[in-house]
Amino acid sequence: MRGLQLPLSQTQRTRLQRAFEKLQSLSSKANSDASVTVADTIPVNYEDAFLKGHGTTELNGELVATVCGVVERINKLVYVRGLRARYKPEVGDIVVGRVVEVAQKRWRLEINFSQDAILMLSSMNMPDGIQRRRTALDELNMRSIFEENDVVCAEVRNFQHDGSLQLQARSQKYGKLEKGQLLIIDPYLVKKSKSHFHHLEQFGIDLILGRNGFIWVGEHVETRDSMVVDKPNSSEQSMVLEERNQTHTPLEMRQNICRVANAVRVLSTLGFSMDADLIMETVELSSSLKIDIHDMLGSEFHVLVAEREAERRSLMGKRRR
Amino acid sequence: MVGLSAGEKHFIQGGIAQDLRLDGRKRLTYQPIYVETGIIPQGRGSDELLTELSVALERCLLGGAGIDPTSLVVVEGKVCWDIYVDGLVISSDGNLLDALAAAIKAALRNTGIPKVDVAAEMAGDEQPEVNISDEEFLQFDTSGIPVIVTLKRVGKCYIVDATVEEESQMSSVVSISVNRKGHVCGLTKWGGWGGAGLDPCIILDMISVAKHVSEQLINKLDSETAAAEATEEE
Repeated sequence: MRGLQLPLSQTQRTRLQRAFEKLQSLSSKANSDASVTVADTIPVNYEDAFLKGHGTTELNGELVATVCGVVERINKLVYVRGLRARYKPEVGDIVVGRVVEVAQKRWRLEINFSQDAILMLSSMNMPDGIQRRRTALDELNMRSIFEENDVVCAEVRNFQHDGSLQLQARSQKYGKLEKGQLLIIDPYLVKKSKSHFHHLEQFGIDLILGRNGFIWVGEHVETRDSMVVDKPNSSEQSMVLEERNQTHTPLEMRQNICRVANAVRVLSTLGFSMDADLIMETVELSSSLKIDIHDMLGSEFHVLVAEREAERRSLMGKRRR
Repeated sequence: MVGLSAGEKHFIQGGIAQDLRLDGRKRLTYQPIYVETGIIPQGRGSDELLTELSVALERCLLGGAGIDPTSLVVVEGKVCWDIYVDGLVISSDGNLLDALAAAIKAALRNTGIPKVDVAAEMAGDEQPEVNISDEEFLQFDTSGIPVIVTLKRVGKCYIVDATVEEESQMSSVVSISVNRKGHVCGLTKWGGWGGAGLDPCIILDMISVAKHVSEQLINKLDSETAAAEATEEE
């Protein structure tokens, strides 16, 4: 149980403890030996040739872990994957990042990686949809597409030969994210799944689970049509801004956004992996119990979610057998 | 300070206007307060924020109605107790001043002043002999100590207990310290972070909001501190 900074009463503490113990006992046997802490010996067959990967070291003829994490074995490679590490990008991952710099023909984005990721101007879809060479005018108007501190959704394209990370935002579903809130959680809680974009229809909300731990919850945007103007048309831009200033998100949608955001916060505090179904279930749990939006962040709801998750996994386990 | 995009800022402002902040709180709701007593912090830090905070704390807490100086007297005119207050900030997600003031109030309540026996009257300027007891302690009377309520004006409404994201768009911030009797002990207006000028009637309005909010805050703080002390004794 991670150090929960919640004021728990005695009964709540016991209930939470019991829920976590149940969850631990339900985790599959194959993995039960896999988690190690620093200086634990890693069970390896020493006769086979094996490669010592990250997070391991040889000490007194034994293979010992140097970080706390989970042992992964791929062919002959044995390494320890740290749990609270920074995001480790893989090609094709969907990430959400914040623009930190507008440089020549590229934007630099912060994505909770050891370096800033790069989004080239040429990897962005131009608003008119035509594939054309980027002109000098495009370069000068980069700020009309994204400027500093904007939140952007993109896909990992590749690693450059110098180790830097390149992103692309070629299809309509990527791009600038507005009208919502950004949540930051640990990257290991977002597992790779089929889809990271979720349109929660009954709420009219977009939920984007970036694999780097940046989660976006916001109003649904139909088409990622331009915030960009091809020619610098300042009057048009200021009109868009004025419109934006007058129209706020409707209250009901805002309440739903808050509920989903709080559900993500609760699951992250408890250390449960996120996926859209789990988040929706948590939101439904809170509305069915008529819990006030802010009270979702209280100790009682945390305990309820933990208990519900333990129940759900034990039911799943029984169904499998 | 966290950078926010224009879209996010607009979203936050809309929320405050609709009385529903990012985590579901209302404008005048504080986040849950959790008090742990009996912990001695160690460490130091330096910041230009540090001087601003200490000045603001002094101003708000040392106003006449705050700490009662007569309780610190040992020998009238000669010997008295000095109180040093150190605040260690482990992490800050906004609203640092309020949290510090609340922590100081809780800490002072947990403070014991050793009982002092003064030797018989000495003549004139000589230092009287004092015998400081290691066993007996007098509780410090903290009922007069104020809490600080920092109000941020966003658009046309006020919010308390702002998070770091909300702090990035304060137009005017005023910290008001109010004690149990509802008296204002001190007032600080923050101008250094791009705060705009304030109409005087807005300040009066803020004072009345602060008085209203401080009542609940003082009660909550006292009950949490009492609960913490009770668990400490167990």
